[in-house]
Amino acid sequence: MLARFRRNPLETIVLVVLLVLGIAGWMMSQNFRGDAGTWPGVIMIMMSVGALLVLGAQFLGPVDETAETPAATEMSGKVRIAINVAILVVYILAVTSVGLYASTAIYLFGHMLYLGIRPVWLAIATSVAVAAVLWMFFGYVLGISISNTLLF
Amino acid sequence: MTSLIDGLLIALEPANLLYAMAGAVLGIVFGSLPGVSATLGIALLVPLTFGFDPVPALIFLGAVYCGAIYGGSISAILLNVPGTPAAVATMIDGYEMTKQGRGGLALGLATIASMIGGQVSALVLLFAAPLVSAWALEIRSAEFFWIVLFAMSTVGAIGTGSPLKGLLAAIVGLAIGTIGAHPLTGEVRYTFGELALYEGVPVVSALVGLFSISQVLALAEGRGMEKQVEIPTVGRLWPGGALLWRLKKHLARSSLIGVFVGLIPGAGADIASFIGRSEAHRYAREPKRFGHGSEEAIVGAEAANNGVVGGSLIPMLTLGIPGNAVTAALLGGLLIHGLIPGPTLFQQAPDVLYPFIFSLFIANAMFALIAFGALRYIAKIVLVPQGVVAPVVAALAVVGAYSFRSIPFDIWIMFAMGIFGYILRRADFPLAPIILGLILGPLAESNLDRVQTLAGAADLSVMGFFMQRWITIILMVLTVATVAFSFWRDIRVRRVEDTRPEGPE
Repeated sequence: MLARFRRNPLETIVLVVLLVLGIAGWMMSQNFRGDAGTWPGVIMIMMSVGALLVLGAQFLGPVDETAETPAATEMSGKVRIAINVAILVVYILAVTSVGLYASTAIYLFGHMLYLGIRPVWLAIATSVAVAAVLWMFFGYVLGISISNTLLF
Repeated sequence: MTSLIDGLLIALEPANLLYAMAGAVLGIVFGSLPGVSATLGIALLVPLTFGFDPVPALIFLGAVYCGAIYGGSISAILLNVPGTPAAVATMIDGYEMTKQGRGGLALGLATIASMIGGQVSALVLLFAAPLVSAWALEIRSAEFFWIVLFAMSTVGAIGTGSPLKGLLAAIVGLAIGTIGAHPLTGEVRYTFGELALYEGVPVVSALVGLFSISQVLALAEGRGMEKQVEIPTVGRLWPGGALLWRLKKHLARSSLIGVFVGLIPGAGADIASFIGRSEAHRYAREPKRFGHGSEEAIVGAEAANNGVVGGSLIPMLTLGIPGNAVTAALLGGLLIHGLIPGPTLFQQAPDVLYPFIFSLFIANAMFALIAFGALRYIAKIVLVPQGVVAPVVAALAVVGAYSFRSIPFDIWIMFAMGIFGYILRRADFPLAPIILGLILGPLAESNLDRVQTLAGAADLSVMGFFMQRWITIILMVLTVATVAFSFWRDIRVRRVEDTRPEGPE
């Protein structure tokens, strides 16, 4: 059982989450008035049943030795993904507080440096150029701006 | 007839020609960049067209679609890296030709074949779409509900590696589609008090996040793995009239294969290119050269994958049912301009649709002209490091998600869908059925609501109401048969693999 879980632990976690979400969603759908709960109720049950079926195939079905096991992400890979996610979260927070285009330029520069783009002047030039093009198009042509931010 | 002529004249207006050209160039760029698919390209550019009028917006997005499917062949032929999944079949012989110093000929053949495939598919679209649309006007709610389920089951069960996971992904999409107010009663569902979700999860944000942020994280995984490569010498592109004449049957056959495959939900340009290549092999003069740099193989694959463009647009424009992820992204482009794809679209907006269809002819010609004129320079785009591509895609995604409604919450929706998409990719789930479920879910629900009302008025059960018309019964049988077939095929493939003797191949 544990060996099968180890073949693709993320898949099992996703399936359990979908199973629980399906049950919770079905329970919530019982409180919707009129026909509003019919369709969501059916879909949520189907989601739980589908997740159960895939889980069943994963743990009770024959082991497909020929199937490629998704490459287990090493700890360094997991840390790298977490850092990338963190960079994106900081960028989105900055967009709503600092300003869309200024934070975009800073984000591009930082993320490119982290991803190993060298020389530094190339990262700076690319960041400024992309942010300027976005500002020209979205800010100037389409007139999009975020109010209540420090910069533009 | 007047609509046709007006459509042609609008498509030929100088401003619209510029939009088509810009779309074709960007399409080639997106298509040729490894890791940036046609779907991702259109998903990123849909918000950009928000400020355009509907006609130039659709002309631009249509040209991106044509250019991106073609562009995938550039990196496939030159670097042995397919720019899009549709170019994998081209890569086998294309890269062989590059190694033999015939890369220019391979690129030239891919360009001509893509253009012809695209033109044939646009021609079929031009004449078939209005006919299908007129027929679709006769479709009632019960049939529409089952058409949606049929499309979902086909995309989920057939277009993916594991039918069970594909169907579950489609159901997840349908579940996300239930968030927001009920279309009839206004009852608010699963919003947890968030007003921005009252109208449901915004399709554009979900689309952009699912395909871009998940891809950004996937690209960022490969940090430090980039190798410095050089573009090989391309040489002469024009393949010559005699060679093209010799390949004419492959061009025609594969173009039509592409159109037909495009019509089938779940079967996109990648499947079409393999079928096109396989059929070219069957009728080839020199089948032994396949895999060793065959011109017939390249033409077979490339005419088929661009032939999909027009075919896949027929169900999307006439029934409102996108058969693959690219047309789902394109459908997002129609929705933000207030155009609701479906049977009435050709009646309501012929002034938008006909220019769009004619612009596909122009876009196909444009990418070929651009390729023959500037391919040596455009090809350098494949050298842009992924460390630059990933952050730029993320920035475009953030700005694009915000630009649609100017609500910062949409950026978080986009980001959440991106993280969700990345986790699902890692867990080996397909993403296309999710976005189709999200788009088609509300359509299925509103039609089911109508069926429930009509069945109640006729004093019938819902199932009894479905059984009243033979076309509904056929659609029900087709849906069940599709799911059953996909499971049967999956079991059969596993058995064949189990009985295959071990040892070197």
